Amino acid sequence: MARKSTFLLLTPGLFVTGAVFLSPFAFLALTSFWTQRPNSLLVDPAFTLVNYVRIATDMFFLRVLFHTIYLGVITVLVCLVLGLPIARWIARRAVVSRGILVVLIVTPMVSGAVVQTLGLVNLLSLLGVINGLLKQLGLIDRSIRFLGDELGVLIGLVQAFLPLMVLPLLNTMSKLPEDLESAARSLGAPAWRLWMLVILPLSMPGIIAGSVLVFFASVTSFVTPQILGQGRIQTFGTVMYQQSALVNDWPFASALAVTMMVLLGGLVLALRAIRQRLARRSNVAGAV
Amino acid sequence: MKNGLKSIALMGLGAALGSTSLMPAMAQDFSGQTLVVGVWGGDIERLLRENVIGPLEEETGANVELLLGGTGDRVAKIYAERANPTMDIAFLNIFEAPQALADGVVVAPDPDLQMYKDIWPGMNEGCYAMSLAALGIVYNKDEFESPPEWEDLWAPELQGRIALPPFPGSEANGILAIAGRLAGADEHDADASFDKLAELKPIPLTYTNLDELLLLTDAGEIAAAPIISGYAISGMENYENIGFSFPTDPGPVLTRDMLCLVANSPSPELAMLFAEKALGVVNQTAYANELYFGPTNSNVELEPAVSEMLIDTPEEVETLTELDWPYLIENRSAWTDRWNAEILAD
Amino acid sequence: MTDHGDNQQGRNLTSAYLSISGMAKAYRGTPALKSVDLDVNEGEFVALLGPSGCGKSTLLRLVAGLLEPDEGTITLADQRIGHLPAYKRDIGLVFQNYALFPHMTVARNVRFGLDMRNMPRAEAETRVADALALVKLEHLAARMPSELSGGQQQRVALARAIAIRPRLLLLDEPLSNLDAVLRASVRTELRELHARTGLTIVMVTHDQVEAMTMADRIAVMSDGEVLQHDTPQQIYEQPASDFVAKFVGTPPAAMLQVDRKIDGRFAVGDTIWSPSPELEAVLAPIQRVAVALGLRPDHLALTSADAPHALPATIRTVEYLGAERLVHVEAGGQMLVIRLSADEPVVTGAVGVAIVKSPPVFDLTTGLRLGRAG
Repeated sequence: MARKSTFLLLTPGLFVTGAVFLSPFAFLALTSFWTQRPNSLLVDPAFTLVNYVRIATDMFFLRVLFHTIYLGVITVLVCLVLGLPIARWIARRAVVSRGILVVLIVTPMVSGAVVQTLGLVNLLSLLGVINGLLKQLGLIDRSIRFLGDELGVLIGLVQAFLPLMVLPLLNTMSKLPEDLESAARSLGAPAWRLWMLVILPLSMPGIIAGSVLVFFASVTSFVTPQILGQGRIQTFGTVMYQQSALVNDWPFASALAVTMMVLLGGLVLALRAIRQRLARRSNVAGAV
Repeated sequence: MKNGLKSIALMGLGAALGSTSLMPAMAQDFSGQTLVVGVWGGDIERLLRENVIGPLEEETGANVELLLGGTGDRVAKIYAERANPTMDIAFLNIFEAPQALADGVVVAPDPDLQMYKDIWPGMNEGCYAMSLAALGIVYNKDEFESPPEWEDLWAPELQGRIALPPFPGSEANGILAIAGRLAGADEHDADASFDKLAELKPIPLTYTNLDELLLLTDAGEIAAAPIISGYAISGMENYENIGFSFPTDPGPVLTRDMLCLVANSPSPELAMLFAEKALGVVNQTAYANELYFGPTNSNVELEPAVSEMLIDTPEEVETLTELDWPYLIENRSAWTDRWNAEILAD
Repeated sequence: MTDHGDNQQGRNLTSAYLSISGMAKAYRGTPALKSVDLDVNEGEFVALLGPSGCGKSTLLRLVAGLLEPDEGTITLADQRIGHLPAYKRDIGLVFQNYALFPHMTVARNVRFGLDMRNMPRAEAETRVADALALVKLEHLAARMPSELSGGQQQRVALARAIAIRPRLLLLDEPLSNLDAVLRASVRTELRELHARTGLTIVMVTHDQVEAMTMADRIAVMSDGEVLQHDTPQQIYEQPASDFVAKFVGTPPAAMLQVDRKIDGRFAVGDTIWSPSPELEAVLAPIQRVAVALGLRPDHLALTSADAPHALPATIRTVEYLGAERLVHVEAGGQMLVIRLSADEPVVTGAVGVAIVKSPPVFDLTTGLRLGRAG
């Protein structure tokens, strides 16, 4: 009875979800099994696996896939290295200044990826602020190329997604009583052992949540690698864009998208299993 | 005031002529109807608003809605909606138009219409030819004593300082074909073309933003880049150190913007009126004077100073390199992979 | 008492086991501690007692090395430790909220400090077992902290701090998170533990009953200063200031302000009063300064209003406590509390208050006790 009425209440939500999310996805998935007719932009709706065979056998796409994941992993690691001390520092501030700092961290995200990325272009481009400064100081004659390089894209990804790491970390860390750290120190733990044995294990929920968010955001990002990569850095996002908007091979672009989603979906399931195990453990450990 | 008088006069004329084919829709009232046009943003949008949309809305009472973006978006839209289109007019490029016609998503140009006849013969391939441009070279004046030829881009001292456009696209296909010709073949020989173009590596920039390219070229960070005349020439006015070259051996690669009437569109009559104005003398003259886009309308007369900077006669078109676009389209997907692997990768 | 010896030499056999000297600490310009001196003897159980914000926790954290002092030195077992980071001080610390590591078992919590010292596993296991045996929790070694009651968690925290064989054990409000019943038993347990281990213990508390019942000596703190550092009995009977008198004891001492009229008569508020000659002697400083008597219930007896030297008063309320009753009376606009045994009859209305025992006298301006010799 209660379950039935709950289901009824959910119906509009399920309908909207189905209409705006699931049906386009279903269409995307369907398209990925079609092909482009020769010498035409019309699709041939006959079931075939050619697109997937092409992805699986063409070294180029496998390399791009690998490179995208590699960039995502590096971005996660850099965000962790930067985010952990930042989050802990903020978590130790008074509540008021913590609020201000959180707003400062979130603000750039609200402005959207394009504005941020173009801001970075101004900083990093051949005639950008950094090159200009170095030339003024007489340190270089010809501009250093930061853009169109892995480094530039990485800077952009970290800059764009660091808040996604800091916020969950902050959420976890601000719940850790300061006394836990004091206890560890009084028991003889130097800073590195304090981090390894107390702070990191207890921040695991935040670390996992932040890493997942940053990883997903960076492997699916398009604007940052497109603009900062200057066409030289290829990720799944930019290749999908190229295939759909420039080559107009929508079935193949769909197959690329589906491949990415299936991989990420698999990752989500794997992480959920890990998180459930962690949750069981911390259930036993309980809240502090 | 003058406009008002003119439209009253025209209405009188329309009434007098009845429903002849000359001005079939003039007497009709399109109030409440909306015409949807897909076009590039920026200067083109501005000129269309001034010379086409403003007058059209005033005369017909209709409302014109612009969907701004690149041709990829528009192609996707008109193909996806071909059963039930929402867009009436789509501006496409030289190689998309014949494809769209072959796939039946746009209306074939009608040779009986006056606006068809006003356009230089042979240009309405797939859709109506809107403007002419040519792939030439934008260059830093300190690097070249005289306007460079294509071959000059391959000078050893410039290696690593030649920017390229993104592939695929008319610019990128153009420079690839030029590379093939310099190698003694043409665009049908992919291996020769790619090998020759790869000699330019490393590519310092794949430009997607004209201002960025011009800024870097002006500063000498980029020595030169293949680019379509028009935009580049009008943008150049802001930079002292930049020149534009129409090479002669081979000549610049011809490109066109095409105006396409979407098949089965909701407002075909309004679309026709829009096309007449867009292809008309007033708008094409503005395109030429402000954007250095060559007019396709044979009735347009330009100042000599302007005429010199653009392609505006069939004789000039003769000197241009014309590519086998159907062949290029056929190979687009495969060549995209090659471009990614052979031109972009270090 | 405040002899902190010759600290400059670093080693001085006559100095106390723990010696804190000139310790000062301010937060954002607000002083939390103003030049505190404190000595603790080896094996002593000292309570830092004071209301919240008095600086007692700050002092504890400075000793533990969790805070950096602005000024001052700390000497522990003849070694200057002020410059040592917390993890090198060998000081055990038990927190108010226990601060057990929630992701480790009881045994791993207790072993944590030993692991930090890279102690061989076998030896560490023995020490863990010993420490858990000391707090009678051997059977819970494999549990997670969340599976324990508050009292058990507290004992784990204690075992964890003791396992490292600290040179000093610091307890931060150890009883405040326990319920009233548990509190009484843990109080006894902590005393026994102190007796068994012989550890030097410094405990922070705001509860004077805890301090009085557990500590060998109490340092009463207020406003960043140590007002008095003495045995519980001295603190109770010879409070150094009106603050100490009012903070310690149940019920706390009442301050009775006494004036002297121009004609030489004594007055409490508007009420004229003729104290006994002994009391007049005690009140002698009244010639120079404004004074108040620190009156505990045991200084007072209820008598008739016309009894000689009695202070005229009116009964306001009577508190029934089973074995005894507390009678609240008003004299000259000031409240006093008198203790009556359960069977003594209570008169109502106008009564007299007799001062049966010589009370401490305080300078009303400085709050300090006058004529401490008494």
